[in-house]
Amino acid sequence: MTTLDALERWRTDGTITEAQHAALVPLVSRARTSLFAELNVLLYLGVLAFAGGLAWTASVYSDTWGDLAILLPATALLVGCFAWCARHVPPYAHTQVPAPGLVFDYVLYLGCLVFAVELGYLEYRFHLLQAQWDYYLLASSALYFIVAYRFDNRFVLSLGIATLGGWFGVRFSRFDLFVSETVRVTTLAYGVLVAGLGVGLHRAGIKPHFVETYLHVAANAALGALLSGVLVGASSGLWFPGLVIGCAAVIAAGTRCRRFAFVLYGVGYGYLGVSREVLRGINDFTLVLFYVVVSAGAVVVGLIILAQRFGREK
Amino acid sequence: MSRYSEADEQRIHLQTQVRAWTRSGLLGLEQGQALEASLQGDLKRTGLMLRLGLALFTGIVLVAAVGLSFMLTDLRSEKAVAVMLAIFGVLSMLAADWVVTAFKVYRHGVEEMLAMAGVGLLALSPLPMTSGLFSSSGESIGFAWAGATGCAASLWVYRRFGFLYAAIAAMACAANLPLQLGHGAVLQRVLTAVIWLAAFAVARAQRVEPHDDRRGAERALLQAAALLGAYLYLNLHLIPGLMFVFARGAAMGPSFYWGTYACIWLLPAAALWLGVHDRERWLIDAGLTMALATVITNKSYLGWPRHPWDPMLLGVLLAVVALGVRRWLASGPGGERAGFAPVQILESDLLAIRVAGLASAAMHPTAAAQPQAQPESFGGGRSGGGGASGSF
Repeated sequence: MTTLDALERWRTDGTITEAQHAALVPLVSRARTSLFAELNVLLYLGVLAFAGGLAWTASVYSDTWGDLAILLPATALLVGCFAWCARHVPPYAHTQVPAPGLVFDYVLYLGCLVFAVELGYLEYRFHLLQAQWDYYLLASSALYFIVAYRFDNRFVLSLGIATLGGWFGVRFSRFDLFVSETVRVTTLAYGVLVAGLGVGLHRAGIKPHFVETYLHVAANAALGALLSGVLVGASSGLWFPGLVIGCAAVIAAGTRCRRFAFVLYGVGYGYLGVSREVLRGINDFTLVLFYVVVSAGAVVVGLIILAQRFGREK
Repeated sequence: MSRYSEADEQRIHLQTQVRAWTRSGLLGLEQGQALEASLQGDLKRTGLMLRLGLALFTGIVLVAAVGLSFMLTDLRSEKAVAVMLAIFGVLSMLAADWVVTAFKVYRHGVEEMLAMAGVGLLALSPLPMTSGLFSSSGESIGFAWAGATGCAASLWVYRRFGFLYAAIAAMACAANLPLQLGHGAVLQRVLTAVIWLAAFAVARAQRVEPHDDRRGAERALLQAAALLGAYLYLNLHLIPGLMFVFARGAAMGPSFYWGTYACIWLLPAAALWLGVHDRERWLIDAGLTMALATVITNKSYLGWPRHPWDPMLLGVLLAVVALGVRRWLASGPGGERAGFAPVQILESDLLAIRVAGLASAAMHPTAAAQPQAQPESFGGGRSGGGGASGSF
């Protein structure tokens, strides 16, 4: 029995209406196909390529062409993007507001990326804030947050969260767990702040659909910092209990809310941290392998139980 | 042969469809729940994330268990190692079979990793023996055997469990064979591409009922993978300095070079045409991916210099194409043309945007543009007054 057969049977026995049958049959038979995702991906890649090219061009030709040749067109583009978005933006609401068109989100994202490139260029060329250049990051992060909330734009929100991380000194572009104590504490603080911000705004009912973006970044930043504390150094100190509590909290919250990516974060970071503690000082490779077989086997059993109790798709 | 009956596969496919329609508002919540309940069977499934976690940790257990066995038995002989790997491979695949039978699981991560790890171990098993038997040329022969074994094992897994990635692995293993048999770089690549294209032809020749959407989508995915595989080997500039570095230069004549150049334009065009003709998004997506790769590598092929503004032009091109297609589709009757719509229909259409939104958190261009993060040519400007001294 194919899907079309099933739809016909459901229509005949009244499980679905004629209208639903008429809407679903073209989708199943592919008489109606959406290219929405493909168009969005093309636009997203286009914006990224354009902004990357702009930054590259500015860095290579700044001396040859002069500042005005770089800044004038970039500023015109920036102003144009924001003006166009300001003209087409729907009224603000705390709830999710659909974009007025396919390109809206990408024009705004392009404007923000061009702004970021210009800011970096200005500081490099004119050293306006010099040693305090990182305040650009804080200010631009605040701007991105405002823009993300006003225009309901997920890309700009991610940009804002990442730029705030840049101000904190947290870099996401590479996984480097062996960082200094200061960076670790800063990263942990950043993770807690981002999580708090996301949860607080969610509870306040302000764009609650953004909360997962905050929490994905926060969970990885905080658990990564705690794990780094456990991995580096002769003793883990307070990092280990912190990691265990953090992982337990993330797993519990992920299970409760049926967001199993967070369960996976908690299990992954937790397993690495606990393994490091258990294997500290053990140099016998056979024993290490035995531990891995037993412990990872236990994790598999635990995940199976979790999957059957909470994450089962029937 | 298959561990899952056709009825079970279709029932699970229907469940997935019903869930997607309910999430997209095409069915009411209660309607969707009632339909899902009516489709319930005895196979256990789980969500993507737990499935990934289960697969990951099962893989860790397997690797550690194999390592532990080697440590405990202290095997030195190449034959013994090969036999041991083969035994572990077979055991792992049998374990996958047992897990499915005993626990009635479907795409649960554990059985998937056991089966695919079994493929990997079986494929590895000829390597220790052949490297000892054939000395200098043994490694190549060993990899050829590994490819052949991997291909056979992957096909078995595909037939047994229906994992589509196993079928793609079988194609990749088969395509790997000519690369190990030393016929010269050009012939190797031609044969490899021919194998991928033969796999495409086999996938396309599969008989599927016109209204069987499940099998139709599977067939389209395999065709798309085969075309992408052929493209990967034919585009000589796709992975510069890595896979095809030795295929360039004197050993490669201009006819081969320009032949591949023609192919990298023809393949995306063919995939797009077939995708539109068959109304299969997998083929359309594969065509778009290949077209993008062709545009990016075009200058390298022609030997033209690259400019810093090239990405900007690419960005404009992508935006123009996207907007042009959207406008053209939207201007058709009912906002569609030939059934292709530029609007979101299912909730799953938003998945790519959500992933892209999250991926944007990996970027903070202001920080990257700061003096500390500048490349060499940009360096020194911070203390150089107006940034002019560093490079000059």
